[in-house]
Amino acid sequence: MKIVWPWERKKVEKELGSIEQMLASAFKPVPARPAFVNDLRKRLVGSKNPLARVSLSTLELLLLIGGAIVGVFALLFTIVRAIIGVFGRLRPGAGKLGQPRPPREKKPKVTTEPKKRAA
Amino acid sequence: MPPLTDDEALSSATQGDKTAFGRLYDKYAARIYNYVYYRTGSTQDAEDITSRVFFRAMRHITNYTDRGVPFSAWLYRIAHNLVANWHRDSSRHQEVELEDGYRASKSEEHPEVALLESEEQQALMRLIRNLPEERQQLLILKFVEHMSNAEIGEIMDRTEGAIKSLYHRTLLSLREEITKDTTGSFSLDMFGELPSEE
Repeated sequence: MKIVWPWERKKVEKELGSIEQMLASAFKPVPARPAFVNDLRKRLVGSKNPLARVSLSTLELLLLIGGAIVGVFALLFTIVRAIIGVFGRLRPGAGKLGQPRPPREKKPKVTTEPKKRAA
Repeated sequence: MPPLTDDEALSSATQGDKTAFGRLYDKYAARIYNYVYYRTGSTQDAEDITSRVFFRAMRHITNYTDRGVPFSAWLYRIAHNLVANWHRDSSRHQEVELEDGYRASKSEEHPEVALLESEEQQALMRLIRNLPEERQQLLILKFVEHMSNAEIGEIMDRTEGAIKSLYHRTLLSLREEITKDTTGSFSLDMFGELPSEE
């Protein structure tokens, strides 16, 4: 950088003033796109999980958990009943649960003697 | 309910209050965007980096501690670091497009005058882009954000006197570059009636 001699100081200061004016007119604030600003705000502040904004009381929370447990049991009960029903239908002559199976009927013996020809 | 003051918003935001952070965003989004825009010269990169500045700020705001430095200085430092990374990662140095903001504001002037001034300013921006990073940052904070030397010092982590000195040296180096310029981009009478320095 050049040395600024004392006798040049006034001139240099004036030139620097001109450069400042140029800079002031060159650097204009540039507005951001409103769509970008709004979208970024939504991404930053807007919660993605709507439940996160809901604050539940203790009673509501207990009811919610109780309801969930009852619901799960009801679902399991239904599934078990359905399975039992399906297997029950597959066994012919099956009685109710807990009853002993009835004894099988014996089939009549098949005779192996050749039939007598009619005379 | 009365609106939050800046300090209250900052205090709530540091405790994870998103609404309070939204208020801080509303206040600083345009300023950070402007700063990044003039450092990158591209609308797309300015939007990308501005987004990253605020996401990073939101992620780390719970660790923010008030050490007497304004919140804006903290944000500008994040922006400065991300812009520095951007310059390091990519060798893209695009020209600042003055048309969008500048020509629109000068539309009432004579077209020839506006064109000459615009060319001069494009040339000036080219010179500024060749300045060291800290000098570019100083000029943007001074002329776009209209900050005082003390405020700039807080952001750049320097004393007010150091900023004043850096600013003066920046102007002198710009003056030197302008007098060296042989492209004729700068009007001859820009330094008034005084003869140019030999």
